[in-house]
Amino acid sequence: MTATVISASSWGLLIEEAAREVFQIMLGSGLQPEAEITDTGANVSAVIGFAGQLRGLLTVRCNRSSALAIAAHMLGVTPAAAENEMNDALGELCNMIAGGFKNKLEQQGVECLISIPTVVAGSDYKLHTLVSGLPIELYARFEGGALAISFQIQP
Amino acid sequence: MSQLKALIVDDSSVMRKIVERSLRQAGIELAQVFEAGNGADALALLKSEKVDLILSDINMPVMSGLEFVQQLKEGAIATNVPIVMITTEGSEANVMQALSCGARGYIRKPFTPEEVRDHILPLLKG
Repeated sequence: MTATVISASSWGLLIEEAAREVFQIMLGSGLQPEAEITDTGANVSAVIGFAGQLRGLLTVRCNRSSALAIAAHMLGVTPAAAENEMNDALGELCNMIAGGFKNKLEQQGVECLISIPTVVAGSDYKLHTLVSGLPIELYARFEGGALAISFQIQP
Repeated sequence: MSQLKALIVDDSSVMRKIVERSLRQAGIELAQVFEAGNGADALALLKSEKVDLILSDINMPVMSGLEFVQQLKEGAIATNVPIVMITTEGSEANVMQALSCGARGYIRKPFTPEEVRDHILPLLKG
């Protein structure tokens, strides 16, 4: 299959489209895209690696209350009842966004593989990756909390 | 429709719960739901339990869903039990590979309860 050359800005649109689909179908709620949010207050992050014709890392970051709201919506329970499933839910959300993005890339002739999600949660951490490219950043709000989805491309 | 025993294989416990809820919302009456976090655990479970329906993710640690259905086929385990893949891996190549390994259906995540119903009910009717 011949790969189509698509720009990084197109990748951003594809990621946003994939994220909208996941939120609409699995959480029954639209995403509200925002201009840059300087401080997401993120203390939960889900990460998935891409390999193949497009290499990089897709990350979904948010604060604990947003992650609980996401888990609660996915499971149809209260945020308090979703406490034990919060990390798993954010990982699966990231997995579905990454899978949707991957499927859209494949429709354009870009073949890649995705890893299993990894979730990091804590009060004081920074994610450092060996991926050197500038990230595509998308910001949104869900249930009032800030959410950042980024794709860092390995040139 | 009589009550079924279903096996849901996914490394995400949240997704296993969502799949079970979707089956119930689709009007499928479940007598028992078994869960496994990967293909190897599912294979082990099938040594002692009989099920009427298997739903499996593809991208899992330890043993992938494709390897799981391949091993079911090779070992003649759970023959005639409908296997449906529920996964983000929605490319044509993945679909073809799953079907050639013995899966009878394919649902791409994210999915609605209606999609679950439309894919699974015809398989249960034979």
